[in-house]
Amino acid sequence: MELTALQKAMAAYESATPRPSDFDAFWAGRRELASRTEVLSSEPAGIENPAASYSVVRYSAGGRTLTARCVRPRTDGAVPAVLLFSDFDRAVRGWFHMSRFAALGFAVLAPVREGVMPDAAAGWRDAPEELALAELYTDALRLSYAAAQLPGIDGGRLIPWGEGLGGALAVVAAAMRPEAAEKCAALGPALADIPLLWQTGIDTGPLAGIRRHFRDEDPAHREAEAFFHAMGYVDCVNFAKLVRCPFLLGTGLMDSLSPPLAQAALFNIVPGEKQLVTYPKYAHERINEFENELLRFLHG
Amino acid sequence: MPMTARELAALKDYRGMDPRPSDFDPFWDARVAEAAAVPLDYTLSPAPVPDWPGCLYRDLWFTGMGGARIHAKYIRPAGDGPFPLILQFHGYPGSSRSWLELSSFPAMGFAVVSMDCPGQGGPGQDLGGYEGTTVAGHIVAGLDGDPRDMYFVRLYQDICILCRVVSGLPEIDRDRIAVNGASQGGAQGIACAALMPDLIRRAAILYPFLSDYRKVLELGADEIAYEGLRYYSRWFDPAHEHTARWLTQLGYIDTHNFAHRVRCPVLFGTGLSDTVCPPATQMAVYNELTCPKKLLVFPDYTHEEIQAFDDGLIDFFCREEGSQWS
Repeated sequence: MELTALQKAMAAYESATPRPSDFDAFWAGRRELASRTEVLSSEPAGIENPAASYSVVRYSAGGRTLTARCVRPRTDGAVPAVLLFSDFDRAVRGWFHMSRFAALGFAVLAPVREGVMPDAAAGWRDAPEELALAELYTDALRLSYAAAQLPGIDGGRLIPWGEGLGGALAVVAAAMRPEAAEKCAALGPALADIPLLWQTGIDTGPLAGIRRHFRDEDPAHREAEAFFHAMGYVDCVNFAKLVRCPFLLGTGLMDSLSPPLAQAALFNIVPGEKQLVTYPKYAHERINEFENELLRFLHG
Repeated sequence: MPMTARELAALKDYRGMDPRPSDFDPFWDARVAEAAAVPLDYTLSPAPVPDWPGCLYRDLWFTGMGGARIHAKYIRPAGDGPFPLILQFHGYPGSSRSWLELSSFPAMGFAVVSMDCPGQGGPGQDLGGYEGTTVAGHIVAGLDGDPRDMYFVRLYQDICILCRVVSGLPEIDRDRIAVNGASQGGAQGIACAALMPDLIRRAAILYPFLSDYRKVLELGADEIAYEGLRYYSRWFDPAHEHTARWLTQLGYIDTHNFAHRVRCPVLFGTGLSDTVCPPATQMAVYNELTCPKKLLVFPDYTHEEIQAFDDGLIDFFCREEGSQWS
């Protein structure tokens, strides 16, 4: 598709992803589950710097223990916190990378993802409780609740932000905790408009499982409708209308992992204050200029 | 495929394939003197991103060699200072990283200045006029003319001028100025520390570019960032009958030839799977360093962001002098 046509199509695009009738009830239950999160410990990370402190936070998740990195400026009083989610192919961001937010007066927490990347198709037949992605999203909410318990952090001023899969997690965190999300930003968010992602042939990261599912278990697509209905519980498009805070989206128009139309599906549904910045010659990658945009967005 | 531990050990004494030009030091002493004679002329103005209560963003424009207008991003903590300063240098052929990315230094209590190399990915004036080809690669810009007029000679002189500008800013602690850079930025970091040894107190260098050019040719690594070498070789010396001339000339801008002049402590990182700047060419730099130094190797990393190295910067730059190694 030519660039101009693509941009027009993005403006008009509406996703056909199904929204299960009990979507809101299911996620209300998951939020309640996540709200029981307790911070178990917060220990110095062994890095020293006169202007910021570095710590490793451990918090409960049902029977599991999750870990996050935390950087906080050495200031008095409670500060807002950025929740920094990584893309599917990237480990938790480094301490030096995270430090950038401390210069602006924000604390920043980044979850350490453990184990293998969830398979989007895993648990679909017993959806929604058994969906692997539902657990991953619930972990994003757990981080949000854990952040609010930390001393020196204003739990009502959280700013979820992420790239790719991290962008999806940021949207989920903002959507499911609107009372705590001050702003939300994403670059190339993944897992939006899952039927379109499948149709486009994207089978990287969590989406690898969808291709495998159809090839191995349902080659004739006899249960495709039920399958995509199940995916509706974890399709980011279905969280978009719950986002109440200002939302910044950056989209590389050559993004082949999170296609621009799929990102538009998400963006077009967000009801409130929102801003889309497109970069015609960028793909699914770091965009220097978007970081400047993010800096401006975080201000004020 | 990463270089093995045995292959790395075999490079313990490797110092590059070609000798340093015999007049390298007087050549550069003269270039530094030329840069020192350029009248200082600079402006600071608000950046296209807003100031924060704890952090101020400025565009810095200064006049470089030949009257070129050169740009740098300048970020500093709010307050009177004096603040230690990082001179940050970017990779090839790019631009200074985003205002947000550079903010990690103010979060450590440092001011940071990051110059955009003219004619690459950021603003600034490249006055050109290079003798010879300019179609591909800044390495070879000026290779057919006087060595004084090569792109990277001018660039390093501009860095000397930048050092004079920033070390004179009232809020900067001129006794705590350090350099940081990867790839082309690593080359500039070494050159800066070598040419301004009284000013630069610490240097963090990751996989430096612009080193050991004959080795690059031998390994067939004269592509991607080093593509200028292949272009020059194919079109201007196809049978390699004149390599002695042009490789000697490149010796004036060879990072490993600057290393012996560096006096400050150097934290040095190398990805052993690097295919852009082959590890041997990096070790040629490291082995020529006679200053306090520490090598960190990352077997599974190529020419890419290495967060473990970046995380080490916090300790390396923030610790008191004399205890810089973690």
